[in-house]
Amino acid sequence: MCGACAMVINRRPGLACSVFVRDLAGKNPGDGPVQITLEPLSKFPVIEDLAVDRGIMQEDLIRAGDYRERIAEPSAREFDHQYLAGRCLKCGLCLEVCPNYRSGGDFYGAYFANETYLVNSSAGGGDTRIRKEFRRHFAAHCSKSLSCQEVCPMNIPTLSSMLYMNKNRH
Amino acid sequence: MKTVLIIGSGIAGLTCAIRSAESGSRVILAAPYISERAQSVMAAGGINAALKHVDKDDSTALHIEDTWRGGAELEPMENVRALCENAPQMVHWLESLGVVFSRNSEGKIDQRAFGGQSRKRTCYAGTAAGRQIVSALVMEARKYECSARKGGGAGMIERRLRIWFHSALIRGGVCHGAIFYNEETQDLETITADEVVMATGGQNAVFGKTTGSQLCDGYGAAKLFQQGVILRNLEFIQYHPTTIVTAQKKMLISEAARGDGGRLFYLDGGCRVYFMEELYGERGNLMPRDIVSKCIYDCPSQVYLDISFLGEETIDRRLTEIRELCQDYLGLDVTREPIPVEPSVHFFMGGIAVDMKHRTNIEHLYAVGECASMYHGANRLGGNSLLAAVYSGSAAARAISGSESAAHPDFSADLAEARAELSGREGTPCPVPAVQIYEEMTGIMNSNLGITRTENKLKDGIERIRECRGLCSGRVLDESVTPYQRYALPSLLTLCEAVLTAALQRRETRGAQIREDYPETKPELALPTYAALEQGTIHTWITEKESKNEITC
Repeated sequence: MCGACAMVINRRPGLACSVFVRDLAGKNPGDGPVQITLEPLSKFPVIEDLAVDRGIMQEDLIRAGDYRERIAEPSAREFDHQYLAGRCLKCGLCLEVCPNYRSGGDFYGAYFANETYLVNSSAGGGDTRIRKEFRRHFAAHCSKSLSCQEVCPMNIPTLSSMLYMNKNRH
Repeated sequence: MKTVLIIGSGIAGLTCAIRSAESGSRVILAAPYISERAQSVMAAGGINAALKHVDKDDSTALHIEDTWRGGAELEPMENVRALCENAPQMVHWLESLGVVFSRNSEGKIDQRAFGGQSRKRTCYAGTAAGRQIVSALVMEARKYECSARKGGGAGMIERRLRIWFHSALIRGGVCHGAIFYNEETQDLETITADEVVMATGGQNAVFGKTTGSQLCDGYGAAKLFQQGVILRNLEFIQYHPTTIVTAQKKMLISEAARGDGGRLFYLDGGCRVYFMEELYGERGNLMPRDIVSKCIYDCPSQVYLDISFLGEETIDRRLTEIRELCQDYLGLDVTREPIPVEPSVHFFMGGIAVDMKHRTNIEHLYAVGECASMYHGANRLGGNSLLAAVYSGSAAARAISGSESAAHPDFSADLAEARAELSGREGTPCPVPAVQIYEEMTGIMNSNLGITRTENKLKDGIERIRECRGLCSGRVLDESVTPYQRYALPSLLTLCEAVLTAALQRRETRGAQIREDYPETKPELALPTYAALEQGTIHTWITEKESKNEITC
């Protein structure tokens, strides 16, 4: 699974490679042909057909300076969470379903919360610079619908990342 | 400041970029997509290093021996030694960058059993080692990307996305950069650099569906071959024994499943036959991949992999992604049912010929990761490809930091010529849709260069590939494929012919090269195959070192 094929299928955002026609078709033999609508993700500029340009996700991470200035000794209690957050495909589905996200705005969306979690937790939790960026580009705008967590094909616990970043750690 | 152009941003390319930026270079990291789309993220198993965290009697000497023997004794020993001796250092480097390796009860990196290895040596991260390594490397690379945005200073990385490799800028045996197709401007552009590093992966797309990424199509190696770069060991193509096949994809069931105890069987009149254990004893399921794949190929009926007896808790903790994959794509619960598996093309031991510094026969041109042929001989052991990706990226970066920069000649005429060719305004249209030639190519490669090979099949394959090339070479291809695929196709067909020719020339069975007509392994052929294109003709030769182009190891 690589996240390239994220699109809107019958009005539901998902990865096309793991959505099956059999699940979209009618359950009974007499149901007749089923219309399947495919659309590009709506929050990104369309390149062609179903392909969209998700470059803004990289751009926002760089703009916020989402990198580690130091790396602390690994903490066993964070391993499971870090492992799950590290599975992010940058597919953009979390941004597509988010009621608060619009491309180019100050709010960077759920993947950003997880990326700042990864940076901050591997720095031992006390990276005040990255926590400030999290507040500015995530916490100040998120209305906690948590649709991002529901849609995530990798089951990343974004809520846990938010909790970690909101706690006053040093 | 030295400019290093790295083409491909998977683990090998990222490692080379970070290491080069660390030593003060300006790196241009060019790839059509972000690193999260690189094939590296599909690497499930892990990375080998004799850390002795589990099996205390493991050693680098044993790692060397397992790698060399697993590779059917083909790879020069000094190459294997360099890889294995540096393995612990590579894993420690990754750990220092925050890679979330799975841990043992002492809090140290855990190690699991993998195919063809005499000790538990594979450091892993659940069943998503590649993804976890990419995640950490991307974060580290971002530090240098941010530095580039701030105006630089020593050490920076500039990413160029949505550009596709077209050709290298080579003049007088020296590489000065590359031409790319820019998706956004729909035009070609040049990027000049003091050093160029190819990190473009294997040759999956010439086989159609494989376990790897379709973005890795072998075009980098194919085009360079046409530009005078020597290739090596092309006939050695690894079939992974355990993959699941759906209408859209072939997907890997990691060797970790067998490392943790998974058993292969087929049904004979309702009874399970554990054929690998019958043939090779207790560790039969963990024989090297070439052997397991051949045994599955020879089975009379569908082969299954059973991990259900490991229990839900172990499967969820150690084999998470395998459970998810089977559930999502087969609707199968691996805690209750066995997995139907079959071998599929998985890894290319062959590729661009390099020396121990990962230099090609063209000055200032390097190759790292799967697109380079090094370390694995005739068959790669699981856990050695991530190791080779990280090690080769580091080795090239070290060599680059010491080499001299060259002045760049004017390549505007080359660019103009490439543009004229791409525009297709002149020339005869190809009589067949390009997509049909692509299908024909993948069909030929699968049927004529399968797990077992014969002279007749290989010769037939060469003939049919030449017919395909005859159809499209020098012709204008239609728009049934992308502009990139249009210019890539003739080169890919040349690469296919070189692969078939190398397989034809090696008249023995060794590792992943299984010749039905030459079933014996010949000790005098325990040497690499080299391939070069000279005046339109493919030459292959088997020799100790590719001496006529002065590559020295």
